Amino acid sequence: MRLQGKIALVTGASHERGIGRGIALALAQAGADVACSDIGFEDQGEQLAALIRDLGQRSMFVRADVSDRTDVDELIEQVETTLGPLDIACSNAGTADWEAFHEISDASLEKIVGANLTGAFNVGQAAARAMARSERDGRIVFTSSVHVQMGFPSMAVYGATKQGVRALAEHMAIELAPIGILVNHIGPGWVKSQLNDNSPGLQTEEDEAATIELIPIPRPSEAIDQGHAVVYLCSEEAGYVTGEFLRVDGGFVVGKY
Amino acid sequence: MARLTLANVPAALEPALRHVLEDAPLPTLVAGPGDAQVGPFIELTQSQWNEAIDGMTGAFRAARDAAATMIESGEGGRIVLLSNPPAVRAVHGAALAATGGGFLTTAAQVAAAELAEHGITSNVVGAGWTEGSGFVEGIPAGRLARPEEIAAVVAFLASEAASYVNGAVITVDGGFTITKTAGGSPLLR
Ligand SMILES: NC(=O)c1ccc[n+]([C@@H]2O[C@H](COP(=O)([O-])OP(=O)(O)OC[C@H]3O[C@@H](n4cnc5c(N)ncnc54)[C@H](O)[C@@H]3O)[C@@H](O)[C@H]2O)c1
Repeated sequence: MRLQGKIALVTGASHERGIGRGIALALAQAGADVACSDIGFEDQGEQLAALIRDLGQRSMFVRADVSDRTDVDELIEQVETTLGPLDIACSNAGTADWEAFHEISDASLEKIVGANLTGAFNVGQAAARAMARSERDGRIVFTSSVHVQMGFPSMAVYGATKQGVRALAEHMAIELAPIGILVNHIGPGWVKSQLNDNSPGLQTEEDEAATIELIPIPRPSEAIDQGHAVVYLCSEEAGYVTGEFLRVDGGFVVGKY
Repeated sequence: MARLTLANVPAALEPALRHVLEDAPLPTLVAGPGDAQVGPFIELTQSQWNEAIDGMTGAFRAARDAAATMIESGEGGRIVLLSNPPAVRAVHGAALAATGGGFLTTAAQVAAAELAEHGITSNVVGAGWTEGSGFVEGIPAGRLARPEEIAAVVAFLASEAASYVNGAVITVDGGFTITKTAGGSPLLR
């Protein structure tokens, strides 16, 4: 198996419809032991860890808020104590709101920046430090978004945080390559996760049909599609890939016209 | 609103911006991510990170507030957010600046899409390094930017002539980001 013996962490992994779950399951199917973390949905997180154990891999669930550095440092310490030194970190936790640009609330700005951008910094830096400490090669994969290549009205903060993650990942890539840590990010297209439950453009079957109309591969992405991309980025075969953005969007950004 | 609002713009640029935007035809907001600290990613401290976040979110809030006032006045306006070379091409030691530049780039572009109907344009200037910041190695122009060279592009975006320019990123960096021939980590020396 491609990731036999590797120890991985996935944040934002709990929810049963989430991308994090797809990433965690794909990593486990590829032979990695996978720690799952989330700020909430703890029952679903524990259930995911049980699913991974059923696949024959070690797993655990740890509650942590990625915007809180103490939480993140403790999370990584707990994972390393229980499973062993970290090889793979997937910084996937994230959140979104839909608001007119001129009416965005400070609370929303703070929440989204905290989870998506400070969360990426916290998880990325704490993981890189852990990998450097144990003198192991490592892989760090962020879940950014198609927002790094196109703008979506009413999602200015969300898009901005994802572009920040893109810039951060590129800097991590060039600075960490000499110590064997490769850093990439994936750009999911539309996944029917709970994050999109409040999306004003995805409320009805007609909305969904109209969205599918925009996607050259005419369906939403399954969370596992994203997981397969992450497995590739964490595999031996991707040993020369760093600072890369892997769009997994059914061709959405390229467009249908 | 005041015709001109400058938020978090680099001290080196401020006089030049004030000079060229003095008679801006429309209410104009120029905001940047602030002077982010330089350092190896793995050694960055929480307080350096928080300071960078404060800079970029401060500029974001300034743009949001300016947009609200411009909409209310019905007069339209011009928003120009500042980015920087590392937001486009990574440079050892510049993770914080790049994150802020990237953040504001997409913020400005989404604002552009939303605010066009109110007669507001929103664009990005990728401001090259000026005296006291950055480095010359790898810049095809062979020198740093003069503040007035950056201010001139901001002034164009604020002018009537730029009325159909929206969501654009105009890089003013002496060619640095198209080539990046610098080796090593000039910022960290
Ligand atoms: N669903 C999509 O269409 C889509 C598209 C592109 C990118 N993404 C990104 O994919 C990632 C996963 O999102 P998803 O769509 O699976 O939605 P999701 O809501 O199922 O997953 C996000 C998870 O992150 C957790 N989370 C939020 N804030 C947190 C915090 N501060 N600390 C720890 N955990 C936190 C949530 O509890 C949730 O379980 C996010 O980064 C999102 O931005 C989603």
